[in-house]
Amino acid sequence: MLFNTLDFAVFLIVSLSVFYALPRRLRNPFLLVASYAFYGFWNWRFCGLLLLSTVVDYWAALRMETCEDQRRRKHYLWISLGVNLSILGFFKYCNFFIDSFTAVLDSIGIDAPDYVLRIALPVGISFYTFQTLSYTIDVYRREMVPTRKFLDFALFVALFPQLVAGPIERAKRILPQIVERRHASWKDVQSGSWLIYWGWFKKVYVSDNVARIVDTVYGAGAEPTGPEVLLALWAFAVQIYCDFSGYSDMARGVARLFGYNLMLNFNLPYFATNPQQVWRRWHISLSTWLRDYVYIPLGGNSGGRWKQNRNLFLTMLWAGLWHGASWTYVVFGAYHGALLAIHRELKPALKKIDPVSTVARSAWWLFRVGCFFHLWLLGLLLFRAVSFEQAASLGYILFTNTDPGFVYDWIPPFLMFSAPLLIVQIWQGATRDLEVPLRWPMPIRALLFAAMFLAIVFLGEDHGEPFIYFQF
Amino acid sequence: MPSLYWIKKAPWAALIAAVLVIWIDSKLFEDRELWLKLRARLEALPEPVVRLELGITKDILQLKNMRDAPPEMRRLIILGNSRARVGLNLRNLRDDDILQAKIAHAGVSPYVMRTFAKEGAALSPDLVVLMLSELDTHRPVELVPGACFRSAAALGQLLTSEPSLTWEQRHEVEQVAVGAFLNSYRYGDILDRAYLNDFREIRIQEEEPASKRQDQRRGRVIPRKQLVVEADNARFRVRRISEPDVPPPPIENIEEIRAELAKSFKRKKIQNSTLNIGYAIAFGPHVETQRDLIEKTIEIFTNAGSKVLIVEGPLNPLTYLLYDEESTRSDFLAFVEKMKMEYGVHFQSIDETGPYVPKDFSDLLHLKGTSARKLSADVRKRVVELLDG
Repeated sequence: MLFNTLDFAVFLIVSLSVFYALPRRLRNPFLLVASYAFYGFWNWRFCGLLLLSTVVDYWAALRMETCEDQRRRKHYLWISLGVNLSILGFFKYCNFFIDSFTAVLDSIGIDAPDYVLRIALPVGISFYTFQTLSYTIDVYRREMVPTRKFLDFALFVALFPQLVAGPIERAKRILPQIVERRHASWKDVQSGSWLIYWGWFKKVYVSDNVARIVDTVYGAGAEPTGPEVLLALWAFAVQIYCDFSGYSDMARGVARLFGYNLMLNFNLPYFATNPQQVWRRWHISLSTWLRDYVYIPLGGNSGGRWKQNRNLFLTMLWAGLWHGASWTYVVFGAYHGALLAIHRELKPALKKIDPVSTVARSAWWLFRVGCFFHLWLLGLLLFRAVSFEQAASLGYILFTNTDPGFVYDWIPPFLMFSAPLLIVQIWQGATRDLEVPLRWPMPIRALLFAAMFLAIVFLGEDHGEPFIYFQF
Repeated sequence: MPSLYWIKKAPWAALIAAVLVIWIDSKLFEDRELWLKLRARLEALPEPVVRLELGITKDILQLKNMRDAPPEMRRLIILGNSRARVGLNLRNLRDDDILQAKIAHAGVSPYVMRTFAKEGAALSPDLVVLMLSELDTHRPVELVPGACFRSAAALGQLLTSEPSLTWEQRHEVEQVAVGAFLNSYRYGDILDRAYLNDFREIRIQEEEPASKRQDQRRGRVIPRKQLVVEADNARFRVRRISEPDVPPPPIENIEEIRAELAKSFKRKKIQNSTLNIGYAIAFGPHVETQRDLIEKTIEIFTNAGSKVLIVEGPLNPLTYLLYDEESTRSDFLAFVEKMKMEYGVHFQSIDETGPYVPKDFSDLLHLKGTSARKLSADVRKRVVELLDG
């Protein structure tokens, strides 16, 4: 059940009606049932996996809490890590490792049999696995006290707005909200509705439309020119941002209607001037997760420069692999690891450039945003490619072919679909207020809402195109 | 004194936006010029891509003509699917005093007729011709949202009479439900394809020889058309009416039937989807739903003072290899008898207009030109009688 379908609209209306009609003590159990129903809608068989993960982590956390022996506590932590990562590894990475192993054998001249397991990837498995892992690790570190109420914990894992594509929430933030049994205020309803509407617009009007340019260039048999590849990369940057941040906005909006406050997952990432900044603005819930549970345990900022850069690099490799079972994602992670390390080395030199006048400062900022955006695009070239061959071929064309091809024809639709996003984001950036449209004068807001609706109806994709991040 | 706090808190921007949307929606779709332009643009596009939208656009214009015509003109509405589009041509039927609207194209099923009924009855037609047969009454309901008219009531009837359909075709049901409320949603495909194609689809690929463009790396000539990603001639993916790959009907001698049909139609291969059209004519719970939809349509028109003529649409006798013609047709005729008794419906059967043999048809369903002209002539006589009578 995708957020951008009427199926979901009906589900949401019914869930909200029942939720608020019930006495407060019954709301959380109902929300848990609704969340499992939502997940079961994809494939009811995978509800068992979700439950298994929930039971194991609930049990492991309680055992850790009651146990004083540090070795035994570690033992329970390993059980939790083992079960969760085994499930994730089997369902998501099994064929990847088999393929890679076969390729290695082939390369050394050993004829390996083709062996492919037919495994369906449970939707959202990477998201909820990381979420439950954060809980047991926090309990192990004694950063939080585990809940004794199984239903509360099960709801934390399965809470449907964020279940299948994040944000990857922390128990420290959500469990207190669950215990509190929240009720949406009028302000929550307003901002939640806006987030759903804006997310829907970004997905259906912007992302799904610019995707056509991307699909044309990356499609089988395409022979694009350099400028066409460049425009397709711009389009993909817009597509993936609007797709994922659109989902995150809708998830946060839906949660807010139930009285829950999910974390911000995207904060104008394309206004970042360097790789460090972008990972503080892009998929914030994943990057903070990696910081807390991978980067810091690896040593974080302690140790020498080499060690710090190694930690960064390994963390980003992990981030790449998290995105999918493919070497292109691993190299995508490595690329960003390298960017972060290089930026760290260049940081002192860059700091010395300090323009005095406002115009010069703005120009310098714009220059850095532009430069970094295009470095980001090179990563996306890999991210979207189905193979290294395709990425290499498109990369080669990008830098060697100057034939404009159809690019002048593609620019108007690209602008038509992405300009509204850019305008609103500039406004959000200038005011440092992500909900600034809600503070515009009422007639302007009315016009904006009407224009967005008509744009969605006339030009939006109404076929419920799936969200890109569901595959992760 | 009651608190007026809610006035301040009410979501005025959203409410005004909703009013604005509804106002723009209704204003925009009343503009005849818009539809003329859309038709012109659609006609320039490849026919397989747009056949349904083109049909809908033509329907809209015909209905606008009828709405604006002087009251003394006699009004005739013809309803049917593509069989009526091909087989029933009453052009030049005393154009000076008879105005006709032919709502006949692929996708016009009893459900679409029902969704149209109220809009049609409001035009006070003197005569309504429905081309029907067991193909319409005994085939499962299949929604084609784009082909449906605005009618929440028809949707409601469908949901109550065949609830399983709401689940199996829920996306289509939802689309019709929204379409019943908002014109722009229903016509979204047409607007998308025709009005904005120049902007969004950029342009339709022109026939072009191998491009002069060189692949600089390999130094070979690349045909320009390789950039076209879909086989429908549009440079960007467009929404297509596609038929899913379905298995053939579970009939023992299906391959023999396929071969016989291929020989008769002089085609290399007969698709599974074609065979399934005939095989789908069968008894089941859907028959009652289809009959209810037709009966309600007739009831609405007769209550509005219109005469109704059911013309039995002929099917290629080779189709009988795929379904039980005898029992389904007699069931259809029994239903027509009921309509005659209850609503005074007129009927013209294939026994009057036929007989029909396989060579009268271009495929399983559609008449060839000569036989279509003969059928049209017979129906024309009956129509004139009824209009003058």
